[in-house]
Amino acid sequence: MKRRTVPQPASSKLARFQKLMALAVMRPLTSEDTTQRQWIDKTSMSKVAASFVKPNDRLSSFERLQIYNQQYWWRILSCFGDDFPTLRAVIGEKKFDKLALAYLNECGSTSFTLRDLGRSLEAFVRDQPAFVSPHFQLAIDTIRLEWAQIVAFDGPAKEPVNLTSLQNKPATKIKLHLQPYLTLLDLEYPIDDLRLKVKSGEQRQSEAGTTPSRKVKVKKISLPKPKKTYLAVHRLENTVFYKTLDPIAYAILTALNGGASLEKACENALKGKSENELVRLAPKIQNWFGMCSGFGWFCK
Amino acid sequence: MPPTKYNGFTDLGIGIGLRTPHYPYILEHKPDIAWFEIISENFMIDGGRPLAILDQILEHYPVIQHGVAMYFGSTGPLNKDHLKKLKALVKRTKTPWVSDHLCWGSVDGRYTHDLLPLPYTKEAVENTARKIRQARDFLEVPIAVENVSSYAEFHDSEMTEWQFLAEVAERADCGILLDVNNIFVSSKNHTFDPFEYLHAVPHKRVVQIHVAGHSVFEKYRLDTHDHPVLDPVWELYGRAIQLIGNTATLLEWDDLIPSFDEVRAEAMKAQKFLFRKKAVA
Repeated sequence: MKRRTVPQPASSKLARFQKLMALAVMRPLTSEDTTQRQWIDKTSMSKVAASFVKPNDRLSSFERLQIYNQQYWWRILSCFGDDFPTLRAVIGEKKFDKLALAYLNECGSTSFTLRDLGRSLEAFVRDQPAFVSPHFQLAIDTIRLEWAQIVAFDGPAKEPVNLTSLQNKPATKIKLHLQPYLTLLDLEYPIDDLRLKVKSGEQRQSEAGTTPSRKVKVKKISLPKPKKTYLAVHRLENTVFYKTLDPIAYAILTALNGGASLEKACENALKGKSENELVRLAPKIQNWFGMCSGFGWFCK
Repeated sequence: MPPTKYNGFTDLGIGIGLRTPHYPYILEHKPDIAWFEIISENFMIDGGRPLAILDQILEHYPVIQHGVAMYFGSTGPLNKDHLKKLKALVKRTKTPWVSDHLCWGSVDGRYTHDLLPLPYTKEAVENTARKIRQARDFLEVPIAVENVSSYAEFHDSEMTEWQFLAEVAERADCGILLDVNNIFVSSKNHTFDPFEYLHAVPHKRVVQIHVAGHSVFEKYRLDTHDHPVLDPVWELYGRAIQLIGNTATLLEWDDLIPSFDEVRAEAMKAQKFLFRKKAVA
């Protein structure tokens, strides 16, 4: 996880100006959504603002700086909310706002695109579980699913492998990988159903990403009971889908993606099964491979 | 502005920003519009629907790239990953120029995702112009810089905004994307004459003009792109065309986006200010 770095002394006047203003712009707002009255060293924020921002006949230096401070937070909070609507519904509005503020204050954006804003959220929540208490596991599952959704939407695709071209190759030599846009998830909750319920009320961020969108109220939902769920989050014809997987299919796909040969992946997933079970599973496994291949999931 | 090296020797008319809610309408109806502008960063991705849509749009329309996160004015180095992805997109769209803002917005790898105004100093001119030249050399396509709306002025400034814009453009030898809405918003926020700004801009460098709507609050105006264009901004646009000549013009509408037809109708209001092209005998 990227930690916020302590500002280093800047070499030029312009660099010093930018470090100071960036620090002021990215400093959290008060609970009333205004700029904090005290600076980091407890001096008056009005004095700090007046040291580099000119006042005019309508606004003080503090008020002019506050416009940028508010715009920054409203923009990234709005974008973060767009990316994690189910998490907001799961932990509730108040907790979500606290989590968003803490996460964005610590991790912020280190990418030129707001698309990557939630990249470190799972690690942050694992590190600081109190933010999502008492729904830790449900929240983790939700974060993983919502991030997988982002990856599936615009992640890279490789040329799919046609399984028939591998028919004459021994299973010990067959190595397959999964499309980079596909994420395999082992979840403790059936969060995919919840995500679909929440999705119906979504509203998108401003298209240019430089102006904050209006805040959207999230409807109340009933939380699911635990149920082990294996899921592939993928895309087909440029639409994101969730595919529930059998645990054995999940195990085989995970092993393949980890670099195991087809033989090794199947062997590990089917370890301990009786002869009868293996006979029963054989056509199923063949069907799964047909399905995965049909979705274009396999690549080199 | 006639075809020049700054606009890739093109002569485009009135365009609008390509926005998600309009995708189905555009692809189904292929509406009559000269060109689309895209937000580069929205398409600097590795795959999926946005790129598939873009490819379909490119089959029917010229597309110009407009960025929001290059931050020529930031003192840190240009982001190489950003530049590489931008170059890949330039190859895809064959955009005749790439525009981004005359602003800063990142420090030590941390992004504000805002278009923060610069102090108008000689140091800022040097820093910004150098980075524009670096980006142009890497991207191998003309670059245009856009003036931003601003809500603050700084004690450090040594010149006016229009002097700063002109100086940067001259030093970088780049084009200008003149946003007349931004000039108007800033003129109200900082009490200057927007027409003086217009007159001072090096007109030969203007490759594109932006018009947009903004929000009026009691003590300041905010560049929100969620309204039709205000009348005084059209007036400023008309004066800009008189001074510069017909120039590729783009309506920005990024939030509370109405139907495609409404956006197009708003953009086409620009037509009455443009000079009629002489018929070829």
